[in-house]
Amino acid sequence: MVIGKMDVGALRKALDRREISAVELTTYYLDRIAQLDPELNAFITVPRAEALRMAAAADRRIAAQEGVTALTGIPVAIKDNICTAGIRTTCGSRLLADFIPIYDATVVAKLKQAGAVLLGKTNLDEFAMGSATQYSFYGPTRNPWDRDRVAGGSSGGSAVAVAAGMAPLALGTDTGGSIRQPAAFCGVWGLKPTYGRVSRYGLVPYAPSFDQIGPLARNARDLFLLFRALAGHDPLDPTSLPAPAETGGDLSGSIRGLRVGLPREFFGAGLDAELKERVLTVAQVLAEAGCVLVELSLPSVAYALPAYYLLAYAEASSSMARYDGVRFGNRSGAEQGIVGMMTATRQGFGPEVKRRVLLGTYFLSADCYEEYYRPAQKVRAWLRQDFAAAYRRCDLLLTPTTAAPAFRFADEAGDERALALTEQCTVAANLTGDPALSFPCGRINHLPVGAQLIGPAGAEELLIRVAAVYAEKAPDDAMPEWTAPDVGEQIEV
Amino acid sequence: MWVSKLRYETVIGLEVHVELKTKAKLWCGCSTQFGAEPNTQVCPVCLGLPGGLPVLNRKAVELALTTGLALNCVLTADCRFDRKHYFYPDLPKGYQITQFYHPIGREGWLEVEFADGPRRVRIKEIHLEEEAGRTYHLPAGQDGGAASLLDYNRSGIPLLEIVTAPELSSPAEARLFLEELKAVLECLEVSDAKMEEGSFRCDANLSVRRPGEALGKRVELKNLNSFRALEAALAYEEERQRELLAQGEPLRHEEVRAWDEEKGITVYMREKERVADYRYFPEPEVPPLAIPAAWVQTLRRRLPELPMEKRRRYLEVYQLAAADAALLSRRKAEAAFFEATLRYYRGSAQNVANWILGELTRIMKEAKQSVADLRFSAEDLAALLQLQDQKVISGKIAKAVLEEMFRTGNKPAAIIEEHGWQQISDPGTIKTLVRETLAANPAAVEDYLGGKEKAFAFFVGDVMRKSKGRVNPELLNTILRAELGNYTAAGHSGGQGGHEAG
Amino acid sequence: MVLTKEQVRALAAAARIGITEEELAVLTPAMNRTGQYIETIREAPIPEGITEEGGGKPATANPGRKDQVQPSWSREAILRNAPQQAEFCFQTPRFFAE
Repeated sequence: MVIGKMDVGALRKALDRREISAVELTTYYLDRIAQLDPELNAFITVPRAEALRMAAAADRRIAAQEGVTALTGIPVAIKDNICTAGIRTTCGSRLLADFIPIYDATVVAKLKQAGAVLLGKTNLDEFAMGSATQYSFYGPTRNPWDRDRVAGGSSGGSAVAVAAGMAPLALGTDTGGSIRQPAAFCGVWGLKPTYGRVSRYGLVPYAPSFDQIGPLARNARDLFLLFRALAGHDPLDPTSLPAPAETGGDLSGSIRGLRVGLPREFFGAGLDAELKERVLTVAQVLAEAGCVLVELSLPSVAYALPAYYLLAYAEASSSMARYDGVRFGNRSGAEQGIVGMMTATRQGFGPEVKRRVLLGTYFLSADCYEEYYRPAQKVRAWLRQDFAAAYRRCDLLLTPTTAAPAFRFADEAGDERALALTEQCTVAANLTGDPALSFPCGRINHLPVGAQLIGPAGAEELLIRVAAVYAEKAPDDAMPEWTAPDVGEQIEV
Repeated sequence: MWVSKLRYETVIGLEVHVELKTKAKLWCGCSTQFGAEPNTQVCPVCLGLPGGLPVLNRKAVELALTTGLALNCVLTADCRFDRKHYFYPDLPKGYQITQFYHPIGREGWLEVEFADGPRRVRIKEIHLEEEAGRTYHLPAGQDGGAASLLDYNRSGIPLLEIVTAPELSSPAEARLFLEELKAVLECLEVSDAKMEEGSFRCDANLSVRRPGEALGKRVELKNLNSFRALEAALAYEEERQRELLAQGEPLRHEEVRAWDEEKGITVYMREKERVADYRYFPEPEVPPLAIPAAWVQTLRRRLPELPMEKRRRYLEVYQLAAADAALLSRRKAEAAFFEATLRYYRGSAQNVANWILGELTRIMKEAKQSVADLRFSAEDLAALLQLQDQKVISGKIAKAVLEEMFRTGNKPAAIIEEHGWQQISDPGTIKTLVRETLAANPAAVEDYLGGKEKAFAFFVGDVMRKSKGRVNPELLNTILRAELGNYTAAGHSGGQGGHEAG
Repeated sequence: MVLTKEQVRALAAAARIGITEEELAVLTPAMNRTGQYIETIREAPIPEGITEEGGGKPATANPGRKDQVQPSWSREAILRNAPQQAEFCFQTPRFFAE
């Protein structure tokens, strides 16, 4: 039995048959983290004792056969901008280095209730503001496929934890692509659910009308399993959707006759030619499986990225206003009076947070509101209308997740254009609130790349089902059962 | 110079902050109870902890809509919120959730009875927002420098801000408006509206101008903690600005001044920033709350009779004195008790008003109780007044009976019976009492006959004392005069003869 | 949109964010690059009839909440992360209320 090769379904069976205990399983992952993470830096906090306690409790549940769910005893890594009571939650920030939440995010409470084991808190760009997990106060996360390259971000820690087999499942958050893009860069599956489908209560906000928590996993079934555990109405979240009528299917329905849209704006200049080929191959495989391909155009997409910058940074400047050193967090400059204290405390933000907050502050100033903010809101409304129209012609959209594979730290990290290129495929779904899935569709050289499926609100199951059919038809490209090579086994570049 | 000063016009606008009477806060389930220990009514949401989310309390919206209806506002079709940004330690999120782009009500009015008659004062807008926390300032002590302490119990309590058009023309008018507004809010039961607890607060803007000229720079007045303070501060500020204008030195900048209660002056606080940039934008995580017409209809149907309407009715239907009608119409519970009493009482409404606004109010005030605490019913009060009208008891006794009713909740008839307080109206009994008194006080009789009218009062007092105040005073007067007349008629000799005989 | 260093400095003061001269030198051009990029938004050929109202809000309904009191957190929990506290309150350097 090789734990690293087992999916969650197999782990479940092994746990239920007592072939392995939750404590042993958790110990395996903790050891693997201890072995790999010094190099990869996917985790900020690993509360070993706490995790083992939860595993022991899960073992008791399994032994008593009481309240055992699909996740009982299964370790899950949690992005460190999701509040965990009693376990520090840093958001990748110096300001929250010692911040210990007094409450669990709804998703964490749900996982605990299901008997899952909280394995650790994963690295991220400070307050999820970034696309490479390089703006963390706790150091950058490295791509397990090539440690000179970024993991993507901001959920880079979660993507790497899953890709490198340090956790079977992880939670990420996605504001402009922060689950899907690192999933693509690391060769794992990542889902941004419909806005409102998963509770945001306890998610530290970056841009709250965009933010959404979602699962990362190594294959379709694991991803769907975790998604179902997270989804549901939460009265504590004002944007929570009412519970859907059906629980979301079981990935077994046919995809024959489904219309798959290929919006040309996602296949234009800037897209890596090989990556384009990979995504068109996915389309071909789906067509062979009975789907109908529909070429279409979404002109609003050309303005998605500037609208995202304007609206998300504006919201970010507002979200960050509460870090004033009065009620929580690390305080500086108390000797300089109240304004001095706030200013000195907030000086502790990293450069990317400062850049976005200052831009957002500018965008919200009275002079800019009419000139920039309102047009951006209109573009957002336009995108929603454009996508709604597209869903009348097709059932879902297929696009690349990124424009290119993971980039190197040194040459591209500071280049906004490279970052923009990686964000432009993902932000549209955040602006519309639609669900979007990234799944592996092969490699370019040694680097994994991902394809993206976007669908109308509530279409999560459909997206995963379609991608699962592709994975079944093209197992080598979708790589459903692998993990990235261990540290020490350097890959030929 | 003073002559020309009188021709200046004063323009006043008010911004009133009203804490809405909900059990729970606007965005979370924490209690709104006043007076709790610091930071005991706080949760991650109202403390602004990362990850807390605001879930709208519908009741607050309902109370705001009700107020909007009573103030004749145009109501918004859906309730939307915006964020207003500023850094202040009592503001936990670094922004206040308020309504900037879409206030819940606009373009309303409130009719107020001013010195020169009733007039509608326009309400620019009413909007919902949230309270900030409370701050206590500590001076520097032995163990360190000066500090401020923050209690977030108040943070997140729903507030309704009511903004008037600048069309109040004197401090007295401002006060009358504010009193009327408070009465309306109390009548609607949307707020405790207690100035002393801070659940009803008012800032005022005042400027002066020569007739026909543009308005002068506005001064915003703060720290107006009572109606008296509002009027006094405005009066002081009005005079100050007129003086400046008369001296040819009008205000250059808009400024904020605070009322110093002790010194009775307004004190400069700061210049008003040109336009403070609060970086308003639509609250991104509170979806609009639809306000269906049916909801508004229901609330409209539930609207109680407002003080102004009630006052009109009291004047027209009951012919109450104007001052009493005004007073009673603004006290909802008293007004209800007044009308309930009238259902049982056959006498004059004014009499009932006199008793409720006079004796009953005095007793309740002393006991720090309200109408809701009364242990007797309106029917009991009616019975008491009826007994007085039937001369079963005197007015004085009636007051004593009311005190007993208040204390015990017993019926007036039972109290009178228990204490033997029935009025003595039998002429024979009274005559006997009077004769005893006169016989026991020959010197006083002498005085009276000698022209000292004061002695008469002495006899009345003596009879009342002996009868414990029960003698019908009118009968007593008549009989006493008659008896004393007997003395006169009998001549001095008659009395003296008696002495001699003795 | 082009911001000067002075404007960025003013924004930082408004946002209560301390920045050094070195940071200012890097931030200003970085912000202006984004500023240039977002200019395109003003030329977006937004179709007739689209208002910003549909854009700014999540497409979820809001049923609101009943007016029910829920237990508050214990004071110890509330104050647990306080950088400084006294008398069961959060303590800051003294500031004057308006």
